[in-house]
Amino acid sequence: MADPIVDRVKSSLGSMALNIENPRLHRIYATVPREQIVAATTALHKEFDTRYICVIGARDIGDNIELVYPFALEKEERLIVLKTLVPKSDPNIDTISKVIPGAVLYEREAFEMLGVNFRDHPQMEILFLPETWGDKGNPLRKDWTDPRKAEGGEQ
Amino acid sequence: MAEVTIPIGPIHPALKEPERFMITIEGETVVAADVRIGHIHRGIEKLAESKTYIQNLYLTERICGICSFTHTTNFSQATEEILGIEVPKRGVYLRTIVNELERIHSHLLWIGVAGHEMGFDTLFMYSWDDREIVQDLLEIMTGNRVNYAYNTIGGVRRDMSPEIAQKALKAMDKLEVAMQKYIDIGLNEDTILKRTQGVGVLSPADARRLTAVGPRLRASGIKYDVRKADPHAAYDEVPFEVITSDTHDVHGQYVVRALETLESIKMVRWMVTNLPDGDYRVKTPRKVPEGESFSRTEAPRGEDIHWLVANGTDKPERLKIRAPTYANIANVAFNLKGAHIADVPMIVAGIDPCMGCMDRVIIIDADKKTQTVTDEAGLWKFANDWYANGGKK
Amino acid sequence: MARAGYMIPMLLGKLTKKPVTVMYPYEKLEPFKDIRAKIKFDTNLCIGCGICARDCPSGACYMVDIPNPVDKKKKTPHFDLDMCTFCGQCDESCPKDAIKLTDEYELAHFKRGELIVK
Repeated sequence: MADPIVDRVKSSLGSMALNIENPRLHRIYATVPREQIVAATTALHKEFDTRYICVIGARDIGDNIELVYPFALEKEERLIVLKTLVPKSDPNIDTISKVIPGAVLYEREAFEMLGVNFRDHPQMEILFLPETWGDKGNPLRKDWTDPRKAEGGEQ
Repeated sequence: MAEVTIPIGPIHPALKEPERFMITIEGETVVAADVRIGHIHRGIEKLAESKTYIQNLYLTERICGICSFTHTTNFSQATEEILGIEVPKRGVYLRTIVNELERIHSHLLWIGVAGHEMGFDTLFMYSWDDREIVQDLLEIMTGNRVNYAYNTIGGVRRDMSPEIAQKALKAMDKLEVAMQKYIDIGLNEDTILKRTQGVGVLSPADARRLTAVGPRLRASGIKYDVRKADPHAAYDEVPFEVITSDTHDVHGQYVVRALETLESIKMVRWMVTNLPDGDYRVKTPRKVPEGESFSRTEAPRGEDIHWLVANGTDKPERLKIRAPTYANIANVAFNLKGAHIADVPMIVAGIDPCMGCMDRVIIIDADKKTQTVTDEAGLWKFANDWYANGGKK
Repeated sequence: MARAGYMIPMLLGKLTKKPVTVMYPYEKLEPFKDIRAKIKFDTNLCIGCGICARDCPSGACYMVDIPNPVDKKKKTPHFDLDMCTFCGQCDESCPKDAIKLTDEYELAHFKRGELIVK
């Protein structure tokens, strides 16, 4: 069954989308290059009025960090997920909080947990970790080790 | 008038869970609110990567003590989607029944907490007394009062015998009578009206902008419910109405929650009578193939999301959890500004905050010069200036 | 038609209701059927497969170096109820039904280690 929403996503993203998948009803995954994440978000926002971002998820996949931006559509009742890769050697990406204000908190979480730097973010600071965290690393990266282990302290 | 900054929390008699509010007041009015929440970050997402799927079921259950079932439902649904398993109809229905029972008990709990916050402890005692009906039912059905351990990957762990079904129907009749009373009281009792009407008004535009979820969003007049928008479990078959309110305040939330509970009672009754026969669970492999899935459920407090990535072993590669309070706390900070200081507990309690779910959040959403709504750019500028000056104004 | 004291009829109605709570040590509530409480372990059925220890979410169940009565080469599980969350996963995972959940819920004790089910 062809989903008309998928075609609309395709046409609004245009050449930005490297790959569009529709594994089941209500889920549309689109991969975009990281330089165009703001452009893609803006295009979706114009087309569907994606006011609502669920979360920004990030995960460590070897040399890259994968970021996912799920947008819930209110009227169309779909979940559009934008995916992009950020290399660990240059973990910078533009913030989408200018388009979707609700993304501010989630970007900060991705920043502290996986070390992705969001350019032009209004307040790029630690969110969940304690203020005394310092440079103990990004805990959700796979190569992160508990600093307390190295010190031989109690875990 | 001189401005005074009062810290409330992290440990404070008025707060149920550790959280901190820095409230700047001018006279009796809050002019700035800084919310710093979640002194109970437990690193569950990292821990989940080192546990097997079966162990993670019980781990996700412990994210929250009240809406524990919605987290396990989410986790099981995500795993089942990657495994490509179809849960038997009976299992899906039983899962939905417990989900709705959880909503009933959570909303009754909220009515009690709201009553307590507004100084109306009689309501608190009575609603928690009536909550025991549904708690007892959950205990009979699942074996425990709070962390039910009822869900499993591929279905549910226990069947519902005809005797329990009879008990459930009787309990629903009792609860319906009780709920009618709470709706009546909520609409007419002076104590409630005076403490909630016009408090914490969030316009639909602001609710959209600040990504409110759940009853807070519906109390702002937006008809959005994940149970309808992204039907999971048996919600595409069960008839129910999405309740909204056009008053946009805490009283609207009371009405939404109370009517939603009534709706849930009807749903449970419908599901128990139309419970399909057959198996209630299927055997699942321990190893999950590579894949990823987004699972969404409507928790009592709003939309709950799990993003699960599997890597072919018996442990997940990544589990990202977004609990509803995390999405809702932004509008609390927004609503606190300009509120009367006595209304602060009411506004905070309004979203039914669950700090255990949410972890640690810091929001600066204040503009001390004016109490009117500022645009986003203004807020950013304020926040930037605030930090540039080392936290001074 | 808001008015104060709307709850008075409800209040009066509750006067005749008997208390919800009971005087616990003297008066006990009947535990529900199929409640999950203290674990009962039958060593003679255990084959020492270790699935219970692998599935236990809280680390309450672990294998110790005591030869299994059925298979001497295998280990035996111990259940430390101080750590147990009473989820009943071990009961469900056990292929030989050696683990059962009883309805004995009064588990307070004076010494650490008194609650290890062997």
